[in-house]
Amino acid sequence: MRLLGVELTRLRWRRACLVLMVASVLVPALIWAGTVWGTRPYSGAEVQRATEQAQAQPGFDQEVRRCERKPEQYLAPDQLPVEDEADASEQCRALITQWWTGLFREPLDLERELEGSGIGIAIVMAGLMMLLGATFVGADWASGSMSNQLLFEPRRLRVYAAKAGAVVVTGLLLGLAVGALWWAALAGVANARDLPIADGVTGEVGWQVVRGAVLVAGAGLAGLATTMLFRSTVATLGILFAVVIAGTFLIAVLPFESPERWMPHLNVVAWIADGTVYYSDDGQTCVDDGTGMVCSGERVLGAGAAAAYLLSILGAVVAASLATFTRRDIP
Amino acid sequence: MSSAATADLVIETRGLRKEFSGRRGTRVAVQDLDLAVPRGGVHGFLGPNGSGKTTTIRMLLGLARATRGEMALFGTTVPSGLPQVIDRVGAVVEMPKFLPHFTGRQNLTILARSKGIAAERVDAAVDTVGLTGRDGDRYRAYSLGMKQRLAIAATLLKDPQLLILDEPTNGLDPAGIREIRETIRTLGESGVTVLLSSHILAEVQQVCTSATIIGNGRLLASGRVEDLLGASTSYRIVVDDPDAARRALAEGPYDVHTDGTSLRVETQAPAAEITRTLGEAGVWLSELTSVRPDLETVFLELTSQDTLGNTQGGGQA
Repeated sequence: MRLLGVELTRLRWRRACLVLMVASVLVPALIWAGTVWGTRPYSGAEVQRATEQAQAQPGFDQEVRRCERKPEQYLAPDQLPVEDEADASEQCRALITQWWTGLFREPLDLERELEGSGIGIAIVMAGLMMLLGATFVGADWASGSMSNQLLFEPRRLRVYAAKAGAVVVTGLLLGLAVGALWWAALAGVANARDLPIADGVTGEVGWQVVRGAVLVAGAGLAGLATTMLFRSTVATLGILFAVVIAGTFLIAVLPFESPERWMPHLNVVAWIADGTVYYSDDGQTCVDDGTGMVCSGERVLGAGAAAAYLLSILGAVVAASLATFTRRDIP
Repeated sequence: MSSAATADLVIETRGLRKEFSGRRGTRVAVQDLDLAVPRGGVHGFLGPNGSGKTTTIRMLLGLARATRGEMALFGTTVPSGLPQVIDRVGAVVEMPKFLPHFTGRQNLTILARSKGIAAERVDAAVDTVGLTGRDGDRYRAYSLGMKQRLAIAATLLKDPQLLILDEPTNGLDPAGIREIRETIRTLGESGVTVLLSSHILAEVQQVCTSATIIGNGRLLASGRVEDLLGASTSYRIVVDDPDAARRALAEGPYDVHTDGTSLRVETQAPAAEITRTLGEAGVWLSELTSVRPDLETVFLELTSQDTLGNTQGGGQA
């Protein structure tokens, strides 16, 4: 525990780590601000002005009449069938007005954000924490101070565990704190706008915060382990770049069935979003819907399968770096 | 490697070997090195660049893995027993290595906390090496001399019984060198065993009570400094008839060389024996001077022989 405390102090004193931690708060704050701004409700004056402008445009009435004649081509399925002409006219006018005004801004919906910006902040924080893990131990290798540390604590396993523990604890705390604050602030905005929060969303948000924090901590550990393996922050950044660029191509050309399933980013999304849908060209399932055969390559990747995949990669990297750190000479 | 014979040895190695494997094959850095450093005093560890001094020190401290052989610190086998003895060992290996963006004090504090050492000891160590007032500066802003001082301060945090210093006066100004030399001497006299690896032979001769000389990773000589110097005592003699003197001495245990107008006689025999031998041969001395070699002479002689031997025998594997 003493070593863990020492490593947490070292992390706190490292300016680069502090900058990355501040960025882990600021970037989600910017995403929050963007979400709040992008879902702000229209004022009555805005709606009235846009409506008047739209309805004054030539061709507006003609478009409404076209809709009234063939409502099935315009209205959403849940608005069909239209009971009487008055209803059809009213619905068509509202729809065409919305189209022509360009007032498409959706109101804030926490359920929708679970699959949007909620995933985004977790991924951004994971990326920043990976950099933090890499630069945290990268400085030890670059300065040569790792050997100094081992002259005070020669048990390398303990030194590794303390460093990894410091990054994991920081990642978990940061992920939980930022995630919880982010969602609480978003819920506060929804509340202030009198927007309803669907049943069960609060629980889903809670689990997403937890899964996001685990991802953030795991990413930090991955960054640390890769740097402990290659003993260089630059090497770690190179590896990350290679994984993002070359890894995707490599997986795509390897003779896997449904290579999309093995893409790291898909698994990350599946973990945070508690499962995701992806499309594969291999082995499409085809059904006859009466008009002919309709084929779909839609597949579901569950959070469990994604977690197993990501943990396998993390475990392999940690095992390799631990083995080299405990056996190789220290420069 | 624990026995009665090793009880008074602070450092002991037996058959120590270190090989580095690379694309060009295997290079032997240390081969079959038997090192014995007695408790107390300052022990010099000498050798030319690349002779294996730092590698040996790094193996003793667990930073490098020995290919073969045994090592012990305070009679405890290392590296397996290093956690039991590391608190009694302070070391500076090669250049000082600290985090550049941390202040000197932050670097020391982190190390002290990892061993639960009180903050007061950081103050004391900073004060001992004369860094008070500059300990709040970032390490990267330190001169090389200040970095060396900080490294020595780090070794003093643990109140060590064994201090391993690898070129500790590198980069220091003459006053700094003198201060560090005095610190080392004082530590040696206070009961701390100091292993001083240095290429400044005059420095080693001034502060060391014993020394080990290695070359190409092999032990060349070891013992008290006085003994190392005395092993090849020579005399410069001036006589009227050098040829007669040479003939007379050739029959005894003397190695005679012409040195300009005088003769140089190398022998283990005392000076009185030389005068007696020459007197019996009717050769009369006009001058006899004991030429006591310094450590540099001994060192160069030993290492040059080793280089020749290595050229013939091969030091690479």
